[in-house]
Amino acid sequence: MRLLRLYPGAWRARYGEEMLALLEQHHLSVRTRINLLRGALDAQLHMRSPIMSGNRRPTVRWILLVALLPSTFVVVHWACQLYPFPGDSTLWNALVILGMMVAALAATWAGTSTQGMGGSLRDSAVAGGLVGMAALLIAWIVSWGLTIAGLAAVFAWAADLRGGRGYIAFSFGPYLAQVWKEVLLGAAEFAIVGCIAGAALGLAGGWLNQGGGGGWLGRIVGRPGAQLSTWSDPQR
Amino acid sequence: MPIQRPRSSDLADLGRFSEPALLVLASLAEGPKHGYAIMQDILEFHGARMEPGTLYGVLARLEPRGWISPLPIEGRRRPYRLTTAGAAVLQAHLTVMQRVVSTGRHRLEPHGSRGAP
Repeated sequence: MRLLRLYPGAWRARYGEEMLALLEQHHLSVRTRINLLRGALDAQLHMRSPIMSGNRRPTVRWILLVALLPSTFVVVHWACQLYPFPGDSTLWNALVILGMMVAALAATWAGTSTQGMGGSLRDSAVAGGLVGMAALLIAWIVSWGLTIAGLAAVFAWAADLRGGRGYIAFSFGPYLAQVWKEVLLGAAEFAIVGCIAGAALGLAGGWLNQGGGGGWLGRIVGRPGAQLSTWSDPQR
Repeated sequence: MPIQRPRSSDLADLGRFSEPALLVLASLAEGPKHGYAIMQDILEFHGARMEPGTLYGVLARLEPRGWISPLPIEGRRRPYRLTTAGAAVLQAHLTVMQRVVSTGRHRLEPHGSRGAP
């Protein structure tokens, strides 16, 4: 039954065989096929692991929230450019490295949490990849958003100096026409790099949480995720 | 007086799965059943055919809440049974429904057999 392959691995491991037995007795109408498709989408979105349902969903939100953190470092980095400190380049580089470290931690954490909640290693890799991609993509968008907003503010201020007559000849249309390829290409690069690196980290996190490498690192990294999933589920 | 229900035991938390979940709980109240038997039972007492994707979406939501529990697999089929917590949730929900039904019937009485204008 090809449609069952659309369900997450952990789901198929838990319900696949009994669902297949049921479908063998059931008339596979178009309505049934559409219903299975919808069920697979629902399982992919809400229940990547059977025990990750219902009240455990807030954990996913927490992981995504952590993935947003690197973009805050971009904001701080940009603010530092406005008000340069002595030896600022070191500070900027440190902030960027710190942001990337947080993104890496978020992807690893996503992997350990997904595995800790019953997901397979493939689920861990997918979760890490999504978090890594989201983290870098959002950081890129925030970075360009701030650049464009900053330019708009600077040129509006310059125009005001000359009574709104355009002290410096600048128009956003030609500027955007010049940079849009760079923006999109950069976004694609960030998304791909974030996805691949995040998937590798998520896989490593899942493997460590499973007991790989002696299990000690997995226990340390996996603890916050496990703790959060306990807090978010009032019945456990 | 409004009926107070603890949020964690509310079927409404299941969103679009709340009605199918009620049907599954009602079916299992009779005794343990596997997936196909649940679908057949619901078709019999409710008249609506529950599709497999919906049924397993419901089972995967009820099981972690502790409202149903899986029994040892029989061949390739796994029966499920209603737990005490599940029975309490079903009872609470049926009480509310019973109140809605009796209120609705009572308020329809002045309209007689003609129904609502």
